[in-house]
Amino acid sequence: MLRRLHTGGLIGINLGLIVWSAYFVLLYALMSLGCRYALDAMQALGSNIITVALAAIVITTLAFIGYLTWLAYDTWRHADDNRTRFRAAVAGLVDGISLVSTVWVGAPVFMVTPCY
Amino acid sequence: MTNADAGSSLRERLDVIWGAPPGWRGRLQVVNHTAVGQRFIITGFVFFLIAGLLAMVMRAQIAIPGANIVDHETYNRLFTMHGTTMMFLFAVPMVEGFALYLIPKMIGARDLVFPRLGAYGYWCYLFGGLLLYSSFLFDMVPAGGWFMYVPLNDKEFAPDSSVDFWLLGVTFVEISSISGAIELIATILRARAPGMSLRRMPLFAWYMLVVAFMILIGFPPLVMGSILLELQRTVGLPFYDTAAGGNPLLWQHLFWIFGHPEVYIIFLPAAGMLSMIIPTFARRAIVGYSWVVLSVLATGFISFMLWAHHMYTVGLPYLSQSFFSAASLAVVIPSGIQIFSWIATLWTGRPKFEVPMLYVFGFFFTFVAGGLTGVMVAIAPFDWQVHDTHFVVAHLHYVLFGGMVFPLFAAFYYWLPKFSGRVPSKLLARAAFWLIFLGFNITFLPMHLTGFLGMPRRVYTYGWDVGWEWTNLISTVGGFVLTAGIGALVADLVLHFRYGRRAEGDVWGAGTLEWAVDNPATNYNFVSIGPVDDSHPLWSKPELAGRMHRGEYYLADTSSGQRETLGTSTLDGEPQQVIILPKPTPLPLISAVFTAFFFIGILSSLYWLSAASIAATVITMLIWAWQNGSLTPPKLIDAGLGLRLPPHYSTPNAPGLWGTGLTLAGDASLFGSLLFTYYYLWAVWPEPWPASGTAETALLPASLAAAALAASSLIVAIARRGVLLHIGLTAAALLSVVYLVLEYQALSQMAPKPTESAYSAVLWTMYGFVATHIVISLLMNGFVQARQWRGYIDAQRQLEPRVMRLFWHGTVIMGIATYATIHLFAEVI
Amino acid sequence: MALGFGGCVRFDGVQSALAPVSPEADHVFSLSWIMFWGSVAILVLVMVLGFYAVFGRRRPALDGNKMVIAGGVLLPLLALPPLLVYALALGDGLRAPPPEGALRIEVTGHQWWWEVRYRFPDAGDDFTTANEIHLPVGQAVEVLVTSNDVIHSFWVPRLAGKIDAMPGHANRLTLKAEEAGEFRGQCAEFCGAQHTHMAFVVVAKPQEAFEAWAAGQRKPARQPSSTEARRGLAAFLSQGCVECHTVRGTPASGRIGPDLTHVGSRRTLAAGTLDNNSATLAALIRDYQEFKPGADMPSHKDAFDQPTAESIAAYLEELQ
Repeated sequence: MLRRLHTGGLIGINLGLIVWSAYFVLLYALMSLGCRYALDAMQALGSNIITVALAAIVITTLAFIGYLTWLAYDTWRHADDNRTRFRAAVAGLVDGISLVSTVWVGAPVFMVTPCY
Repeated sequence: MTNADAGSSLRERLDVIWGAPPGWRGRLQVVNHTAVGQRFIITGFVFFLIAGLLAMVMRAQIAIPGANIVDHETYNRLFTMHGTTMMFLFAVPMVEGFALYLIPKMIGARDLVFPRLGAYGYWCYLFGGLLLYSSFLFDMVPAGGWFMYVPLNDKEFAPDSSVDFWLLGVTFVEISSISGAIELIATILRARAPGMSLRRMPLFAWYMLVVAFMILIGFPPLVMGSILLELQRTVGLPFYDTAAGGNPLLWQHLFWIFGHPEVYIIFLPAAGMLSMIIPTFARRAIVGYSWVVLSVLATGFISFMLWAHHMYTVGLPYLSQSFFSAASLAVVIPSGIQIFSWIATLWTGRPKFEVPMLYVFGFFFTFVAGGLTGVMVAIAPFDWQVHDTHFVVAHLHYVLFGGMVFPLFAAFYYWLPKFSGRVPSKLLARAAFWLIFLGFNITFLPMHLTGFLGMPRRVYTYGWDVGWEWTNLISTVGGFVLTAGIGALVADLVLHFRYGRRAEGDVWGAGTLEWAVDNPATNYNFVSIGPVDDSHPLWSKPELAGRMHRGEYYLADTSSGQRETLGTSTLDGEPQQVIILPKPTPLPLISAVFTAFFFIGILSSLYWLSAASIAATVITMLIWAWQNGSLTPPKLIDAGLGLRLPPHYSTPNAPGLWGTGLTLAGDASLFGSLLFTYYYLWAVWPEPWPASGTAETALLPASLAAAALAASSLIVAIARRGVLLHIGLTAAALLSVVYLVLEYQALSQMAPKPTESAYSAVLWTMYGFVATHIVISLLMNGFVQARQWRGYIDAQRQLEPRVMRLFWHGTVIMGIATYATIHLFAEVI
Repeated sequence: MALGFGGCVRFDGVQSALAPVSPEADHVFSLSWIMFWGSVAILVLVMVLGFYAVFGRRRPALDGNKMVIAGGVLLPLLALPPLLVYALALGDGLRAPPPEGALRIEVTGHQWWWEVRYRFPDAGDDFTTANEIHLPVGQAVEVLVTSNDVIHSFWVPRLAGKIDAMPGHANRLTLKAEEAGEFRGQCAEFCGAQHTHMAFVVVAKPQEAFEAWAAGQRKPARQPSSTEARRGLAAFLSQGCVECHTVRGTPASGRIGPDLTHVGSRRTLAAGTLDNNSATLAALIRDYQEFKPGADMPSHKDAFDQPTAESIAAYLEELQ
């Protein structure tokens, strides 16, 4: 189902970037709200709760886009017509750049103190 | 009769069918994409020249310290109008105009699928530009900077109408950009040549597909921001006013959510042109087609997540700034892929060096340099130093002039034979290039240093004590060299119309379909539409162009006397329908004139004029819509090569339905901007959020209202035929009015006075937004009932009800989302 | 290093980010050089490859796709992460709150001048001045920046990056001058007609000198000593100046324009625009619009004559 969506049409091949965009907005919005309510004063798992929550989002997103990448690669490998092959290739490349962008945008969560 | 004779008599008939009526009246009725595209390009170029001259006055004023060529007010007007003109009246209309002109030729269509919309878009653009520039006549020229920050441009600090000229003029032009985007998407996805599947699409079409989506989603936030600012200025709804709980940063967010994609909206079409030009001169297909497609898609998405890198100094937490820094670095990858794909194409090809290639190299140097300073300013601590200085001015000119103007000039020279049927001279063209290239770099390279030395942008003078005199003087000298270069370019372009050598066929030996079109292009592009089985059909099948000209393929039968092009499937380009296109009509011009009076009415506070104009616009558009479709039952059309296809209006995926869906997508972005406004205000509001305490009492009428709205959608979905349609649509109309009344009561309890606070203002604006959509839905409802009553709707002809239903559901979804936000969310919080 | 372009351009100007005197400005300066040379290298690489691709005689047969991956993917993947990590660490440090007990200065942007309020642990020690900020050398100082009207931006390139002055909200910046001197600052966000003339001076001096200066600023204005200055005070009090300006120790307590209690001690007039001397002062008093058209301070050409303006200037000049 997810595989067909991901490599079947014009919207689906962008799934990696769509997930990445949602992830970006989520990080930004959650951080802003967390700071608004001064949640950075609360601790969890040895760090402040905003950092922990954002880190969880980073890791989940990485795992999901990683899975998408594998789906696209697998479809590409087994495709027997050029049209599917092309769509799977683009979908896989989109996932690749989404992965890199997810790591880069996630990096500050682990390095920067939130809220100032 | 020989084949060649058949071809030429076909041409005569096509000339008649696709020709404009004679005289100046005919010109005002033109809807054909070739003519409309040319008008966009020429108008855009004129605005480019005007804005360039404004810049020259500025450069003269700051050439030396303490100069007194213009006063501070004039200087502020100059940079405001320079930026505004270049961004809104030159760059975007120019690239869209190019696309309107080229896309049908490249993908093997005879025209765009909504020619009248294209014409309407052109008139909106022209009138919007004239409206903005008419501010000179009233001595009320905008002077608040091209990004119009508040509170500087609120009534308190800008009491005259200059800001209104800006807001209304720019919004008017944006109507044009958005309508062009809708038209491009529908055409690229629905009217490609048979067999042109996605992977065989010319790259420029990929680029424009993504760019058009970016315009569709990216422009509405600024439209909404402008509406809110205009509401604040005219009726005092305090969205951006700190004293009433509003926030000036809301404007910056809305502006840059538009403004950053805008940069790529300007760059990507230019990159698309390069992706067509470079393979031609490398004499091979592009290296890494999939990689380039990936880059375009990735740039499209990532560019929407960069907006706050224009806001590093406003005081956002460093972690938020870092998200935008990282995303700004991520967008380097797709740009890098494109650059290296072009270089690899040249490397592995057999390159020849013609005039367009000069500009390609000008692009390489300038754009890469601008991209690298872009990486620098993406790093927040660095940007804190150079933000709002001449370093940023230099950077943005490297990116925009390098990324857009150099490719554009390459494109001018490359596609000129399509316009004029002639080839320009080499000597003057080369001289012009070198003047432009050197002039540009002499102007803007030292300007980086000026910024480092501490010169803020937008200062009209400076002293001898700060040490900026030399770099500024050099920049000014460079500016005049650049101007001379532009002058030479204009001379070259003008002269070649007279002295240029005749261009025969595929001048550069290119491989894509636009080179199968005559030089200069005919109105109908192709005598017949040929099948495509390759990304460069003219290379793989050298006989294709000739056979298309002789009418050996699809749609060579002109007996119906109608303008026709092929409607094909989105992914694979399989022929599905014959799209019947409208003939010349004055309706686009008339409705654009009325639209102009709507804006003029607001500007001059003659609200009765605005109301009358909007009514007149609606009536014109209803006439326009009435002429769509067929007044007689549809018959299958012989499309040639033994293929019989239905006319578009009898199919379930007619372009009109796509147009409606795309309009709703842009509409959703507009509505999303309003929702963003609500939640943003909530997030920055000093406690407590005013809804607490009032939401509960209003919940009952509001819930009933939402239920009525949802029920109307259900009825619209069910009632489809005959009398049931009339009964159902009437009931749905009544339910939507029930919604309006009940919701009005609910809001009157929650926020009796819209001007009281930003909160009340946003509530009533959301109500107004949904109410406007309901009014439009009701008009469509009546329109469909009228057609049903006249018998123009039957089992085959379902386009109008489909369009109406789609819009109705869209309206209801927005109404429900409003309910969820204003009432349910407020209740939960 | 101080001169470039054949000696024409001075890199160490009063407002130059290329002449850092604080740790923050210095870090950013070093980062600028790293990025500059990195960029030059990449630009040269791209251009050489581009030229060679077109004009190179015997180009080695490369796999085009590999070239795309190497240049478009691997190059950014190698070059950018170190830059990102460096920037994250740098910015996190720079944005950290100043140490406890740091001197606090509240700066408020007005169209088109800067109000400067010094806050001390004992509120009785607070004082207000304008368009001039004095700092003790070697100490981190907390600057809270806000605006009274439109958005401005507070920027002293030799000390730090800029921070916007937003109405209704205070942004924080930490300044730390490592050496004594005078550094020019200027509004960097376009703020209307006289955005150009909205500068200020930062004076960094040793701790004792700073404290002596602060002690002087706390005192009310001195009494006029000369006859002309006394005439000037009388004119100052009667000609409406008091509606907008404060001179502590006199009935003048307006809040619209800059506090003038110690205006004679300041280096510049009209927000960093002109040198402070009695002739300029008199000319400004007579016709402010001549120098800063559009500013709130009206022209007094018709209100009083030149000798009156000179007497007011003489009085203000004495307010050291």
